[in-house]
Amino acid sequence: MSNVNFLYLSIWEISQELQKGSVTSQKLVSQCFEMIKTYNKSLGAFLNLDKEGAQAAAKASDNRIASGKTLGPLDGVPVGLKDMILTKDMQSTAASKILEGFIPPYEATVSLNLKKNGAVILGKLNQDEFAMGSSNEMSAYAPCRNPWDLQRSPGGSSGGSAVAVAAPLCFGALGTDTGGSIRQPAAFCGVVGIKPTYGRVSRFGVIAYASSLDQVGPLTKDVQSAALMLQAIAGHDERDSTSVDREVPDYASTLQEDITGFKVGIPKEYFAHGLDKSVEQASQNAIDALKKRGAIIEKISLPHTKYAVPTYYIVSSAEASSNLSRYDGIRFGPRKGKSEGLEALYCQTRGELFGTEVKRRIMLGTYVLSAGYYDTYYLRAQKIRRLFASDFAKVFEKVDMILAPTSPTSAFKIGEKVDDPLKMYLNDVFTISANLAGLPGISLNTGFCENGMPIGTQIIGKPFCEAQILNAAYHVEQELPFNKWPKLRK
Amino acid sequence: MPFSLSEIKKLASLAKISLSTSEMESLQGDLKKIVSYVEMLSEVDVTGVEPMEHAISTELFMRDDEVKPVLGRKGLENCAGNKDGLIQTPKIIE
Repeated sequence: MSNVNFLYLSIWEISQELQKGSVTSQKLVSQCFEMIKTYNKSLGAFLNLDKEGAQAAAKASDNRIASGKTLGPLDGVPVGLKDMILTKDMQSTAASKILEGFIPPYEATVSLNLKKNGAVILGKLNQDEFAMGSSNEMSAYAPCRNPWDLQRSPGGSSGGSAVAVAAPLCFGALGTDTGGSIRQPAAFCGVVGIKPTYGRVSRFGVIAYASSLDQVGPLTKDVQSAALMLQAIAGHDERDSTSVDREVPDYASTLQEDITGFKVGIPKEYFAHGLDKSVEQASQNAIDALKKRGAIIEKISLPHTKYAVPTYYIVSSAEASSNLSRYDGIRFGPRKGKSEGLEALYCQTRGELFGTEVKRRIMLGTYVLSAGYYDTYYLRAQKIRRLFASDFAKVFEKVDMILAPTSPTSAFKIGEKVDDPLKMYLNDVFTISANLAGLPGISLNTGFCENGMPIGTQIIGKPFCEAQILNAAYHVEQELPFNKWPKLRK
Repeated sequence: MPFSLSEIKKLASLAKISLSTSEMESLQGDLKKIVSYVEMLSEVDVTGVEPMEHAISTELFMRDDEVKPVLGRKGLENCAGNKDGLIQTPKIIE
């Protein structure tokens, strides 16, 4: 196999090649860094690289594999981590200037888990600042572009993660999903992305945006790779009080199980008049694929759907305004205005070093939590959140999972929505409900637009039923093989 | 929902964020638009509905009251005001 061909393999495929000895992890890591050197300037996927660390980890992996002591299918596989995920001794900024130069003194559990399985961390991936965005245009450091069309957004906030896998610059990546930030960029870049059930994966060491909504999940080239990465990171963690102590099934072992009789709900509110025709067709492709594999399709209703975006933006902004109050220049990060007193230090540090969208959401969150408005906005939004959970619970009495478009459109042009925050927020309309209800969701490519851009469809499951949605997604993928890759330009 | 500049200044003060005049004017427009949009939530009947803070109900798990290793001084390595292992800040008491 030629050098470049290896990078197009899935995690399972490259794992086989590593075990057979047809390639070494060190060789793969070099190839990844060569691709990054050639294309990262135009793509903007990686913010930071750890060449020494990666080479050392790759060498250790090669030694283990050679002596028959492999740690499993991720051993020796190069991956990237979203910059929100803290990596000990490697700069982590959440793509914000307020954390410029921040070197974490500890490591996130998800990163440690990947390393325990032998994965090789190449570096930190670009994102919207503090995960607030749907286009990666809010990164304080560098633009990030869609490898299918450099004039288009890769989606967000885990844009860098999606780009790194789609290009490809590595074999897998971790992102975070608070309102769709794994699934939507996965859809925009034509890769697989999974947001686990809330509490399935530890948030210890993951910079918080909205603590009741955030979840870490993998982005990969195919469903099986997503299953393998999820396996490595899922599980109880004592250091995260929201982490659920529940057995982790063997996700890869049930991928190929027969789905005859699976009931799949199609929510009428997601297919309302005006849905983009290509997006509708891509969803239909997935529906047809599931039917062919024996699933039963049923129409369902999620009546509160239209309230998802406003509910999310109140809840998430409120939580963000609280979470981001720690960025005050005192214990970490740069300081501004220090000679003018404590108040000035706080205000100028935050004023000068937070980006526009972050400031907007902190202000919105402060408003909805403030005296006189708390009941009207925040408390009401929390009650409506329960109505979302009830809608899903009712529907899941009749169906096993729900299929819907991931995003109302394919990737839009960079700059198209950045000046209209509300227009940008409406990108999340199909993904947000799963976060509000804490449900798992997977997005995979099920079609292309006339302009060649990929379109994703998502499958949302019952709590802790990642195995089921992976199983269904696997069958869709088998019926809709797209052996297409973006043509990269420097 | 009108947002006066004084309301924006008050929010900025609560949030401890200094804003230029042009930023305040821009935020005035943005927040007005966003808050008008979220007003649609007032249509929803929430009578008798309990607020939901967490999607998945979990029990807070406890641990034994044992001393465990902590970051200690290592936690100050990123502190811009680190002076001899202490955090230096502007004077707050005259």
